[in-house]
Order: sequence, then structure tokens, then C-alpha cells
Amino acid sequence: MTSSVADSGRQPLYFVHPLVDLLMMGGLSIFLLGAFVLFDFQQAALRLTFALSIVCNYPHFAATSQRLYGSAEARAQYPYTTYGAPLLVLGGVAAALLSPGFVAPAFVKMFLIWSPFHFSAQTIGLTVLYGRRAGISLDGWPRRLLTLWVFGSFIAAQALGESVLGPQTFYGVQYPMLGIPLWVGNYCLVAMYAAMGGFLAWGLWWSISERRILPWILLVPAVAQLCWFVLGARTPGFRELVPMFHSLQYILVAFVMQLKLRSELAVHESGRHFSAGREALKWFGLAVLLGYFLFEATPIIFSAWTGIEYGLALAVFIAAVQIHHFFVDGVIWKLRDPRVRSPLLADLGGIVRSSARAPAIAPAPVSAVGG
Amino acid sequence: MSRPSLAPSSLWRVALACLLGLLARPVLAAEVVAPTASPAAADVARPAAVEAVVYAVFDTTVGPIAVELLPEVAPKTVAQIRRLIELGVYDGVGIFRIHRGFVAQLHDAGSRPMPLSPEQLAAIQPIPAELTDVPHRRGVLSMAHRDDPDSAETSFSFLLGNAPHLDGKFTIFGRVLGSEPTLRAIESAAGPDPMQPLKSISVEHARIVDRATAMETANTPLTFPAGVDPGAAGKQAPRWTLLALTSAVALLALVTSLAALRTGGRALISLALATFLCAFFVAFAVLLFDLELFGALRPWIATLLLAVSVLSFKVMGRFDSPGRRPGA
Repeated sequence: MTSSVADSGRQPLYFVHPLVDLLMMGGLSIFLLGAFVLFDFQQAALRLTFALSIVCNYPHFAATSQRLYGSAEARAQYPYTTYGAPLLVLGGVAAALLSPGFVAPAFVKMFLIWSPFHFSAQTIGLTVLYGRRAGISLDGWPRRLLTLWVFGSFIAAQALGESVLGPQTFYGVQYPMLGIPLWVGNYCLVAMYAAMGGFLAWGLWWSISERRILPWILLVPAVAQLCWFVLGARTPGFRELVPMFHSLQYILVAFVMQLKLRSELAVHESGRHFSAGREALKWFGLAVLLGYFLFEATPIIFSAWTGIEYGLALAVFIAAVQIHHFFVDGVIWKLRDPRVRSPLLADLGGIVRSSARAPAIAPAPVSAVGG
Repeated sequence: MSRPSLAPSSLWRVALACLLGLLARPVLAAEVVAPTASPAAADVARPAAVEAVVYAVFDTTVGPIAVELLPEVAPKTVAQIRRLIELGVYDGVGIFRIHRGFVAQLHDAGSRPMPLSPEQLAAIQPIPAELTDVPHRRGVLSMAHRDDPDSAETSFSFLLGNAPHLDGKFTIFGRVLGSEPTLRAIESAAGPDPMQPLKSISVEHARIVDRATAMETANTPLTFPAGVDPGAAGKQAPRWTLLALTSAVALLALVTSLAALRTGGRALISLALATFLCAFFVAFAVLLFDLELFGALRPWIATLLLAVSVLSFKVMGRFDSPGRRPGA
């Protein structure tokens, strides 16, 4: 089974613009890794991490909550996730805080294992999404090779990282390492590079048989992930920025989806004027505030209120918010669901243009009528 | 950054990974048949020049531990640890991890109750790894480090049993001399959670001493009869009952959810998956802390644990799925 042209309608390939998409989908991280290799950016990167977390990393977690809990339609579509996910996670938080020596390390450990998996799932989702936008359906062997490449980089990095035995610390929680034999990670690395070679060979074959070059943007997320987990894994300063790169991808996609859904809603609700700029500011502002509240304010307030050690509260809440994010994301971002896929095929320019073309049918202000 | 500059390095990584992978297999096999008969102390290479050995005593809250630091095995580490002991860096440092039959590990000096002085702080520097073929046996002193092998600073472990899986990964820099009553007292404070010892034990004072003082403190020699694994006596068994129970519940819930995915029923799928995740999490936590108790099977169990943890994430995506109704 090979790829075939999937969608009859021609979709815009980029969400915003080739350069913006390139940078946000992982190009920035690829360029930065080069810069990190050539220059000593470690201190500058570490200084920037907190600020970037506030405007980039935290909001991307908040965006998930906004998408699920902020829309009645989404709540109706995923009722068990809406009410079940918070219950499960809060149960984990309570158990971790009550058992800081046993449950808390396992809770943190689980989050640390799942986190790069979540990155990988997003990388594959983005590649498939760009494939659809380009009219290329990644099924069969290309999909398997892509999956092995992307997941291979995560599993290899994870297995190599878990080859040590000394306990590690995540804020106030010490957790044990698995002590996986080194050869497991090395074999995963070999499998990953073999799959990468296979996928690139398929890309070449596709380009020749289709007489057009495979859009380069299809390779950007997977190459970026290779930089995050393998090529740049031991580059000081760079690896601390990896969550920001992942968040950038997420924010762009979630932002376009939000605008598309809101613009459609405005069209349906006659009498409402839609302003893309205002909507963007509202969405992003709320995401920043909610993100800050979840990651910074909650542990402080909780620790002060209960007397539980701040480091423990911080570690458990960070793990909890992220596990919730992984959980919810795994449910709500399914490209096979047309309600998800359709808005994700939109582009920012199209949304803005359509909103500008929409007739201003909002009732005129009373003063204007009177004047 | 130009891609071609990375590509050759990637090829080298592949070749190196193949080679390392092939080399690592016999090492793993060797772990399974690692001899346990020889006394621990005999496995630590004796330094040729006895004068070079540094002796120290760690006066803990449960008794003294006499040690000899081996500069010929790890010169940089010994020089640094000696300096830290002389500066009083270890005074007040607690033992935060006691794993019966495995290790008793000292916390980082920065965690001790009384703050470090500027001189002490300045003395704490990362120590480059000095990896040798000296095996990790009961009584050995082994430096702890983070991801980076060159990141060891102050935390180290007293080995309470044989740990061949640590060989070549952590710097061994000394060994305990006798002090068996103290080691046993430390080991007896191990609880079900190694990170939560039943009793708070710390180093009251650490000092560099001469050989005579060290030998006097050591009082009873650390020797074991041939054929006896000194770590085995106090070894616990994994929590089999809890493991079996949680694994059975997780498996049953998983099978139920898979069946529900075929027949439909969003509520049943979600409930079964939630049960699976809860049961799996308990089994995961138990295994995480009992890994050391699986002996030679440890690396395999650890690999399996990682694989199942990854697969469990995949399962989460099916939560709230409407399933596929028959005929649909």
C-alpha cells in the first residue's frame, strides 16, 4: 500500500505562511541546534526558559483545557473525558500528595515517560495533517516507516536515558531510574535510523512517480524531533528548550482551529461580528493566564493552604497538569473525526479574508441609530 | 545549520550503536552468571602502594563506618572526597535511600540541615567519571551521578549487596572496612519504600584518620564464607501478591475495553480503560520500587516496564471512543 491523493479539494498547504510554518513546526529548533553546536548559548537559554514557559509552554497546556471545557459542543462530544479525566488525575494528585515516597515518584515517572510519547504523537499527527493538506494520504508502509522513525527516536532516547540507575530529582520528588541495558537504546537507534532511511527513500520514490517534489514541510516535524531527542539530546541548554518547540507547534494548530471554529460560529449566529485579531488576543490572553495559574499559582496556593512542602506540590501539580493534557489531547485530536479534521485544513489567511468579507450585520449601536 | 554536517555523524552513530549493542549483549549475559562466591573486599583491586590509601570514618547516628579510599582506582574522586571530608561537607548529611541488599545512599550535601559555608560550597565541584572494571559488591563506595556520568558531586552509596548492573556506570572509589554492625543497623532501617527509611540516619561527622584508627573502628572484618551472597540474607521478595492482583485487574480491564471497542458502548470502554489505567499505575509503582529485587532479571523487567508504560499511553487515546458497533 502506498500513498495516494486523498482529498479532491485543493487545500492550502500552510497554516500561515511557508516561513512561519517552517519555524513553528520545528525549523526554529533545527536552526537553533546548529547555533547551539557552534556557540555557547547555554546560559542565555536557561535564562530564557522561564519567560518562554510563561508565554509558550504553559499556554499550550491551557489551550487544551480551553478547547475541551470552554465549548459546550466539545463537552457533549467527549462527556467521559470532560468529567472522567479530571477525576482520574485528581485521584492521582491526592494519592501522590498522601504518599510522597511511593506514589509521587511513580506519578512523576509516568509523566516523564509519557511526555516524549505525546511529543511523538503530535509529530506524526502534524506530518499526516500536512500530508492531507498537500493531498497526500500517508497510509500503509510510508505511515509505518514514519511511525517507526518518530517513535523510534523517542523510545531510543528514553531507553538510553533510563540506562542509568542513580535516582533523579524532579523538583521536590526523587524518582528511581529503570536501569535499562544500554543495548536496548542502541538497537532502537538503529531501527529508528533504518526507518528514517526507508521513509526518505519512499519520499524520493513518490517524488519520481508523482513527478512533483514531496513538500518539504512533511519532513520538518520528524526531523525536528530527531534533533530534540537524538542529535541535540546532550546539547546543554538546547534540551531545556524542547518543550517550547513542541508548544509552538501546538499553539499554531490550536490557534488556527480556534479561529476557524469561532469564525464559523459567528457566521451561524447572525448578528455577531467576528474579529480575528480580537479573538486571537482573547484566546491567547486567556491561555497565558490559565497556564500561569495552573503551573505557578496553584502549587503556591496549595502549599500555603495545606502546609505540604512546596517542592512536592510543584512536582505533583506539574505532572498532573501534563498527564491531563496528554490524556485529553489523545482523545480530542483525532484526524479521522471530520469535526476535527475539517477546521484543521483551514489557513489563517483564509479565515481572516472570510471574516473580512462577511457582511457586518451586527445591529448598529443605539447612539448611531439615534444620530 | 547545514544538514550534511549532521548526516555523517548520524551514520557513525548507527555504526557505533550496532557495535555497542553487540558488545553489550555478552555483558548482560555475564550478569546472569556473575559469581557471588568471592568476598566483596577481594574484588576491589588492592592498590600497590599502601601509603596511597586514604582512611576515613563516617560517624553516623547508628554507629561508625570505617572506609578506605582508593586513589589508584579513582584518583580524582578520592582527592575530591578527601577534601570534602576535611572541610566538613559531609557533617549532617542524611542517608535518604536504603535499599535492602542493594544500596544505602547519602543525600547531596546541599540537602543537609545546616547550610554549607562559602568555602564548602566552593569546594563542591563536578567530579569526572573514573570508570573501572572493579565490580559493585557489598561494601563498595560508589559515586552517584545524574544523566551525565561526569556530574557526580557529593552523593555516594555504600553497597549493601552485589550489583553487577552498576558495573562500569558509576565510579567506585573506596570500600568499607568491617563496620558490619553499623551496616546492618542501616539496612534494618529499610522500609517497603527505599526512599522512605523507617529511621532517619545521618552522618554526624566524617573525618580523615590514620590506618590504625580506621582498623580500630572497623572492629569486625567484613568477610563472608565462600559461596554466600552477603546481600542475599536481608533481601526482600517482590510484592508478588499485589503485583499479581493489579496485573490481573489491568489485563481484565484491557480485554473488556477491547471487546467493548468492537461491540460499542462508550461508557463501558471508558470505565474499563479507567480501571486499566488505575490498576496499571499501581503495578507500575510496585515494579518501579521492587526492580532491584529481581536480581539478574532486573534489566529485562525494566525494559518490559518501559515498553508496557509506552503502550499504556496508546490505550488512553481510546478513552471516550464510541467504539465500532456490529454492522457499522
